[in-house]
Amino acid sequence: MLHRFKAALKIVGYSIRTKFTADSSKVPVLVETELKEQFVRGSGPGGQAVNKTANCVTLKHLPTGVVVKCHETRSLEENRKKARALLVDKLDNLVNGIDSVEAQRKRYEDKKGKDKKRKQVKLSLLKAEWKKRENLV
Amino acid sequence: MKRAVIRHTLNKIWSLTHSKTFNVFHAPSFVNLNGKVFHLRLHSTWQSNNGNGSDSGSFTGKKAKKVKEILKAWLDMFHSCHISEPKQSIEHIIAHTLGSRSISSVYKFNNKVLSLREIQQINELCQQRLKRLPIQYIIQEWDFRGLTLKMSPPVFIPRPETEMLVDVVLNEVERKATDSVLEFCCGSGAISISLLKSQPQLNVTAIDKSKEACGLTELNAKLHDVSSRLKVIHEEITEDHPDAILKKYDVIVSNPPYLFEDDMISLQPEIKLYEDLEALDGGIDGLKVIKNILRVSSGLLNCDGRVFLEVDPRHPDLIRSWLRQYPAMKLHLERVYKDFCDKDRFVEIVKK
Repeated sequence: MLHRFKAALKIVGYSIRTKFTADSSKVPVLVETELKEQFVRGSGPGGQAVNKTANCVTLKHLPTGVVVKCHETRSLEENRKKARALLVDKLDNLVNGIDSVEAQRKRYEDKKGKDKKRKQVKLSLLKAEWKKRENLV
Repeated sequence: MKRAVIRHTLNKIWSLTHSKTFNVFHAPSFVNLNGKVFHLRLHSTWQSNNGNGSDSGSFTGKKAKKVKEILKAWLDMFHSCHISEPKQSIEHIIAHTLGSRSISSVYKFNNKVLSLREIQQINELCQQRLKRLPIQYIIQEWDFRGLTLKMSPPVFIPRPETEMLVDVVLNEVERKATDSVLEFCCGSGAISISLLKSQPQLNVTAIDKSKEACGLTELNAKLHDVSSRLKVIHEEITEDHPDAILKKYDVIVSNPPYLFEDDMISLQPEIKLYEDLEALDGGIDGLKVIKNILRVSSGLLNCDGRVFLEVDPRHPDLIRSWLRQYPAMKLHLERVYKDFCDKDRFVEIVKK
């Protein structure tokens, strides 16, 4: 349906861009018991007695041994969440290879780039032909 | 006697550093307690700054122009002055000057040539760091869970442990489907505002005895657009029922001062000099404020209502036995939660 709609629009001279959605059915799910989490601020009294800014989180996936690090934000909680997201991406690439979300996205971007290039080449050809026709060269 | 002297000295240092005429070189280098001398670690740093501290601004200003050069120059400076977390300090200061919240931007713009004004700002902020001002006060903001909150001295800077307390409380708020929460000792408002942001139907009443803390909580609530659902009350918690609170609650939360008085002397200079020690000091057993909160909460909780407190790992046992001594309060310690370092950090107390 959408395809037909798009084709119809193309005839009239419009085109709509649909956002890319990857197939994420194969993405691995993390099990908290399989993770080992480490913090820079490991030892010491902790709590109110310490004022440190280092909020780096190191997360290890025990079955595969994959390790990620995150100190992207200033909140430890956020870093823990982001570390988990990073780990999922990494495991997805490792397990699913060409079917991983990142690989799918990359293929999509590549295809988009190629389409664009092809259009540019076509346009420049047309221009050259036109110049030739009008004896402008 | 000893405790009184420690407290007196800490108060004196605190008031010294917070007076307008404060000069770092007039600060005492040690505290003499009954013949025992406690050296304040920060003095040696200040003295070493005295020699080259005034030049540091110009040495980085004239020679270094790129981000990575400034970074290197100040990193060396912080190292030589034994500033804690030297790398993070300069990274956060540069990121702040570049208008970013993440450290990665510092390395993304490694080769960016800084304007004179930016260099000047970095130098000024780094000078403050040399005086041991906490990074959170220098850049005047810090992240708590997903929120960026304003920070200003001397209001207590929220610690990452407390982020987990919010999770515990959110769980209970959802389970009870309650629409109101009471917070004691709100400080910068981190807990209250996080709760309000996660639960759109919730109303929170926050109490703090410090005027600065109340002001900062109100400011942060305004910045996150939740001030219509947050009531801030400036009042000290004593044994008596607070006048301003008229209703009963299902959920009460607090991160009260819980440090043992004896541990106060060994705190980092960043905390000792700039943070409100009243927000940390829990008296001889660390329970001074906690006991008042529990006494008051006993009257403020509905049946089966709960208090959630952040405490010292030594506290759960002490609180359990103290509550047993006063059965009239009808409070029972139900559960102890660990923090991310696997230390007993939060207690859940239920009213039966």
